[in-house]
Parts: sequence; structure tokens; C-alpha cells
Amino acid sequence: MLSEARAHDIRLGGSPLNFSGRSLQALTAAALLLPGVVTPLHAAEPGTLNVQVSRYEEGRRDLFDVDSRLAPLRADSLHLSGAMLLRNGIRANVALSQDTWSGATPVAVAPLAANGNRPILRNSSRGLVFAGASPIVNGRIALTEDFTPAGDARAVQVMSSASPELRRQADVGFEFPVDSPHARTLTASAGISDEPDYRSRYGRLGARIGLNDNLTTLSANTAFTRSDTHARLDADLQPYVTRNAYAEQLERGSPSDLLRGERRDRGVEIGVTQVLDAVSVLDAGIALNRASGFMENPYKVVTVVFAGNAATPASGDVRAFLEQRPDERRQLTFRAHYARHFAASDATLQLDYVHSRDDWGIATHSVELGWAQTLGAWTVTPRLRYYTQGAADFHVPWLLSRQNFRSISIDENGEPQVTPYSAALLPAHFSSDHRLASFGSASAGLTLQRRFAVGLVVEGGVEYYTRADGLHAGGGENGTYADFDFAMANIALTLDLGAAARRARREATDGHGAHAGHASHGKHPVPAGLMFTHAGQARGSFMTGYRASHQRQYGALLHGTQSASDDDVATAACNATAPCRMAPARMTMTMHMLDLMYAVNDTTTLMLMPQYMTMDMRLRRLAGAPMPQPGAHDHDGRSHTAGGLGDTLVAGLFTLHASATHGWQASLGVSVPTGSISREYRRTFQADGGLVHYDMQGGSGTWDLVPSLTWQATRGSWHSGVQVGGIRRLQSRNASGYRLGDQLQLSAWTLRTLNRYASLSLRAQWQRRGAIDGAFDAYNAAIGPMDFPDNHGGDFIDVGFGLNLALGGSGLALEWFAPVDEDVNGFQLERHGALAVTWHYSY
Amino acid sequence: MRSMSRCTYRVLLAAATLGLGACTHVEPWQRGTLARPDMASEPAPLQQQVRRHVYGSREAGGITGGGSGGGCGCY
Repeated sequence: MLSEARAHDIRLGGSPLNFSGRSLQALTAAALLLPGVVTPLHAAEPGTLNVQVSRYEEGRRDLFDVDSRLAPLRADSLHLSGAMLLRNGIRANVALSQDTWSGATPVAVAPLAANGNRPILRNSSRGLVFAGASPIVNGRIALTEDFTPAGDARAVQVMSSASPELRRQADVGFEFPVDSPHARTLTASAGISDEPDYRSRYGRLGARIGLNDNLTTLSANTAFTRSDTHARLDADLQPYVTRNAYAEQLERGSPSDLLRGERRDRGVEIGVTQVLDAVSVLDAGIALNRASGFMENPYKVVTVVFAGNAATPASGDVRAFLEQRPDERRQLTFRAHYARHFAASDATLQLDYVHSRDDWGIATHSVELGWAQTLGAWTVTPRLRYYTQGAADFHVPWLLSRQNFRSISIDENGEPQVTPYSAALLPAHFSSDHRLASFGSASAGLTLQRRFAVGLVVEGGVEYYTRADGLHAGGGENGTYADFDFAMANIALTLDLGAAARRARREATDGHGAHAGHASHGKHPVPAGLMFTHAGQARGSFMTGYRASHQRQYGALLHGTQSASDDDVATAACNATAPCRMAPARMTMTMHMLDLMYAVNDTTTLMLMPQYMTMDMRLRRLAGAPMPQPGAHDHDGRSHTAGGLGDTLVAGLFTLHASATHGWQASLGVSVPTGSISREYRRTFQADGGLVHYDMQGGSGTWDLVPSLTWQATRGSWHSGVQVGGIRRLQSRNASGYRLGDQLQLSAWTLRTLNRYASLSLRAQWQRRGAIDGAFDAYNAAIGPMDFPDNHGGDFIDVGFGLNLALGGSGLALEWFAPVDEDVNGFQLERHGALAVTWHYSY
Repeated sequence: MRSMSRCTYRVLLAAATLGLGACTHVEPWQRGTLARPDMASEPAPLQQQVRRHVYGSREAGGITGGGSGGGCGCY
């Protein structure tokens, strides 16, 4: 028997537990697994599913006297992952991530006198518009006797904008229990990260062992990463960049060269987790990482001012060199994490310290303090972090070289001889990347977690970060030119599949198995592509879901209902003064949506649905189209991608009438314009980028009304329904000067339940989408039909074939949507079907 | 490779020794608090993943063992 005093030592979630029976057994079992300190308690459950979206956004850089209108850098990320307990205690983890980023990023640092960041203006039908900024600093500047620029000598970052770029990552990992009483575990994982100019593949092996009655856990990991760079150099910048050091890695190409590099990382890490007492634990580790190969950033250049070899310089020849970093880097990292729980306040102190040091001369320290306060089912964790680092030995804002970049002399035959600069007179390594400079940063963040009894955790986090030279421990060294700040926010959802399985078993035991099979869709299953049908949830219940759709367009260009020739498109799809040169050859759009629903009462359900969109478009040159004019945007045969958070839907769903055989539901939603409508291509290939095509923008940009009315009926194993819905734009223009068309949609479906697990569905849908009203009020290249408002919208008829599955308390539905008839406005690319997938779980 | 100061190592070693020496035995039934999610090495792994990715693309420190993705951080 346990003593009463010991009983009070057992707390979970801050509340004393009555430990008789199964709760004590479960708790003790969890505690005995106590690398549970390393692997959280919930990891012992059969499995988890995670969905997370996040945004990172920088503030504007201080360019001193330049009013840059380049949009600051922004990155949107989506993360999906799952863990599953397999046979023999083997645990598998799978994760998929992607992020899209675009915006302004520094490519160099130069004296202000070099006049970087010059705005590029362009004539348009709306007058002179901003089309970009020149990152070119080449030229001559006056120098004083002490070799400093005669004008404003302050360093300034030279910015360049980046087109939207997509990175995808996939990871898979396994944990193998070798000897569970002693918590010996082997781990293995591998993954790949892929983006247009960079790919890394990595693997990791590890082992954990519990000692000292599992109060001490030792761990060891080894990892290997291979990374390949294949970067297309900036075509605008390339003619001005000296890249002799990479002659063997450059592949000549048009319109610019390709720089290839390979990098390998090998790392080992050992760690120890020690339980100090019943309320505190220490986790520490030390890691050694060795990187070799190409470690440069292929888009960063260093400004070199060639001052000549005279004692008194007249002027400096400003040049740009690709940065040169050492080919080896060894870094040692020490980390420590201390956690202590305070029962009186039901809170946990979390303290982290990380120190690293490498042979580039960089030493870093970071300290982080968190306070996880439990408030009922909520956990609120404010955090503060301070970070400081020293500079790499080879970091310079810009270089001065006492030689000529190029000297011309007359040889003995009277012929001019050109003598280039001597690389030996330049440092072997140099970089002005601000991440290798000395600086400090301070950040403050807040994490909110809400735990639900059924094993669902919803969490969100925000953080503000400021980086400043003056925050460097020991004082600032470089001035404020590289200071900047950013904010990041995310929301995540974690579902414990064990809880779902237990719920399904309980419902089966209680005789509600049939209902459990349809829990994902309220009273009856519906085809995957339908929304606003989940009425009839019990008061106070939640429903969580994930919804994805993938649409494809390729093939012929349609004009109305007929295929159009390239000549027709070139002459009629754009405008008389600027015929179309390009047309879309293929376009895909993928949407990920999170469904969060709460039944206020038996007839009213509130819904919140954030979404993440990814679009990819490949263009082709129209046969017989005119060649591009100098300075005009053009990207024949190249695919471009955009992605990020889309608009967010907030809606109410109301049951108007419900009986055993039929029911009426209505919904009224508002679409909040959280998606970007100002995505731009960078100015590249000597051509202006401008705003990305309408279909590649992230949202409508307007507040929209989204109503629907649904009728559903049941007869035996047949479920049928009709839904009418639409989108009404509530504003006449968005911030980019246009408004998407309104939409009206009518769906009719029937669904046959085969057994308690599976149903098949058939659906027909008619949809009318209006054309775009207004037009971009900023520069857009207008190269093809997708850039003209009249070539959007139309009437569409589709047929959907679906399969619905009941999976232990949750429901999975798939629907393939095939186009039957389309009558498009203007000229548009033919559609080739869409796949919709939904997964819902109510609790 | 530039050697880390011996003093730093000694301080860390002393702290680790003191820390382990200060341990008390905790019976299995006393470990409920230790199993709380906020006592884990990574109390909020999803949050930490986002933050680590951002820090890694903005700072030069703290590679712990490698073997993870994250892209080139070229921006």
C-alpha cells in the first residue's frame, strides 16, 4: 500500500489524482518509461496527428536616405506530421513541411556614396510606377586621403527582391525499443529538403538508454547531411559580379550562369537527462558538427573598392565579388535545459542555455527563460530570449583593396595590355552576410496551449524579435546598418489518436457504433468537396477537420466553350496595343484548410477555417507571338510558384429544421482577407517583374459574404441533398485595385451507405463565377490572358465521384471531380479535374 | 579549430558534477510531475520547430548534431 504522504506527490496537470485503480497504473507505467522526460507523456499513446501553419514577416530595413518600396521578406509555412505506434512497440514518425517566401533581402553592403538601392521606375498606363530597385553598386566613388569614401561613408545594405519560392521537406523516422524496462531505444530517421536551387538529404541514427532506475537517460546521435546547391545567378547582377573564384563550379548558361556546389555535414551529439528531484530535471548535451564543401550563399556579394596603388587615391573603382567562405567549418555546441515545477503556483520554470563556438571565429550564447503557467485546461507560456554572437574572422561590411581592378598599359610593341587585379592581394575569405557579423538580439514570445479531455491540443504562438548591433554583448562594433526586426506567429493542432480509438470503442460498447462511423459528418456522411453541412452537433461539442483539394488545368486554351488557336489568343486575349506573348501551359492549385467548429447549442455551430494555398504555373510562348520588348517580363517554359496563407473563413451554421427523414441547414460566413494580394516577381533577366498573375495571388483582398442553404434527406441507406451557396464581395476594390467576381453554386448529390464503414457518393455541381472587376493598380507585366480581368470566371458543370470511410471515431472522405462542361469568360486554360480530401473528428 | 577556453569547460564540468551530485532518488510513484508535458526537454515541439528554423536562418550558432532539413536559408 502506498502511504498517504506519497499519494499527494502524484499530480498531473496540477491536480492531485486519486491513484487507486487504473489511473495509478497508467501513471506509474508512464513514469517508469521516464525517458518520458525526453519523450513526453503523450508520446506513449498509439499515435498523434499534427497540423501547423506559421508566418514569418520582417520589418523594413533601414536604408538611410533611400525610400525603398520593396516589400519586406515574408515566409508562410505549413507542417503536417503524424506518429504511429506499430507492432512490437516500434514507433514511426512522418512529417511533411513546405514554406514559401518572398520579399526583399540584402545582397551586399556598400558605402552610401556608392548609390545602391536606386529605384527603377517605369512608364505605365497609370504613369510612372516603381518597378524595382537596382542592386548594382559598380561605378566610381571619390575617396579621401585616408581612403574612405568622400561622400557618405556609412555602410548600407543593398537590397534585392526575391520572387516567391517554395521549399518542401519530408521526414520519416522510427524508434525501436530494445529493452523497454531499461528504456533502451534506437532511433533512425531520414529526410529530404528540396527547393529550386538547393537540395539536402540527411539521415540520423541514435540511441537512448535509461540508467539509475531510469532517473538518468543517456543519449547519443550521429547525423549526416549532403546538400547540393545549383543556383541560377541573378541575371541582372551577373554582368557586374566578379566570380573568378568559382570558375570551375560555374556552368555557362542563358540568361545567366548556374553555380553548383556540394556540402557535407557530419555531426555527433551526446546528451544526458537527469532527474534532480521529484519536481526538477536537467537535460544537457554537447554536439560537434563538421561541415565541408560549398558553404557560401550564392546570392551574396561583397563590395570591393579598388583604390589603386597610388599613395593618394583620386577615386575608387567599386566592384562586386561573390562572397568566399572557408570550405571547412567545425562547430562545437553545448546546450542545457532546466525545468522546475512549482506546485504552489502550478507553473513550470523553463531555462535554456546554448553556447557554440567554431573555427570561423564565431562564438554564440543564447539564454531563454520561459514560465509555463497552467490555468485549468490552458497553459500560457511567456518567453524571453537573449542571443549574442561574435563575428566570423572573415566578415567585413565591404573591402578596400590598394590595387587597380584592371590596369591598362602599353607593351613594348605598342599594344595595350590589360592586367587584372591580383586575387592574392585580396583576403582568401570574405563575406558581408549580416548573419556572420557580431550582433545581439532580444525576443519576447507567448505560447498558448489548450488541452481537451479527448486528447486534442490546440496551440498558438507569437514572437517579436529585434536584432541590433548594440545588443551585442560587449558593445556594438558595426553601426546600425544591419539592424532589423521580425515577427512570427503560428497556430497548431495536435490530435491524440489513442483518444479517438478509445472513444470509438466506448461508443461501440454503448451501442452507438453506427453513429461513430458518421461522426465526421454530423448526422450523415456527405461528399468531400462540400462545406457547411456539419449541422446537428451536440451542444458544447467540438469538431476538428483537415480539408485539402488539388486542382489541375492544362491542355487547350478555351474561348467560351471552344478551343482557341494561339493566333486567336495572341490577338484577342490581351489588348490591341500589347498582344499576348505567353499563355499558361499548366497550372495547379493546392489548398489545405483547417476546420475548427464548436456547437454553441443543438442548432448553431460556429466555424473557423484558416487555409494555406500553393499555386504553380508553367507558361509557354504563343506560336507566332511577338518577341518580348527590352525590359518586358518574360519566362518562357519556366515554372513559377506562389504560396502562403489564404483567406480565413468565419461562419455560423444553423439547423433550420431537422427530422428523422430530412433537414434544412443554412450558413452565413464572412471571408476575412488574410491572403496576400500583392505578391510580386522580382525584377530579373533585365525585365520588370511586377505583380504576379491574379490566379497566383493568395486571396480575394476583400471582405466577402459566404452564404449557403442545404437540404438533406434520408431513405434507408440512401442519403441525398441539395445545396445552393455563393460568394458576394462586400467591397468594390481591394488594396491592389480590383475585385474578384461573385460566385453562385448549386450542388445535388446522393450517397449510398454500403456498410457501417464505407459509403459511395455521386454529385453534380453547377457554378457561375463572375469576371474580375477593375484591374491591378500597380505594375503587372500583362504578358498573357491570365493577366487580364476579362479572362476570368464563367459557367462550369462538374460531376464528382466520392468514397467516405469511417475510421474509429473519425471520418475520411475523398472525391474526384471531373469537368463536364465549361463556358469560360474570355480565354482560359482547360480544367482537368480536382481531388478533394477531408478528414473530420468530432468530440 | 580555435580551442574553447579551458576555464569554460571546467565551469561546465563543475556545474554538471554539482548538478548530478545534487540528485535525490525519486520513486516511480513520485514521477507524475516529471511526466508533465511542460517538464519535457521540448515542452512545445511544434512551436520549437518553427523557432529553431527561423533562428537557424538568421543566426550563426547552435547546430546540434545536424541531420535536419531547413533549406539553405539563402534569404
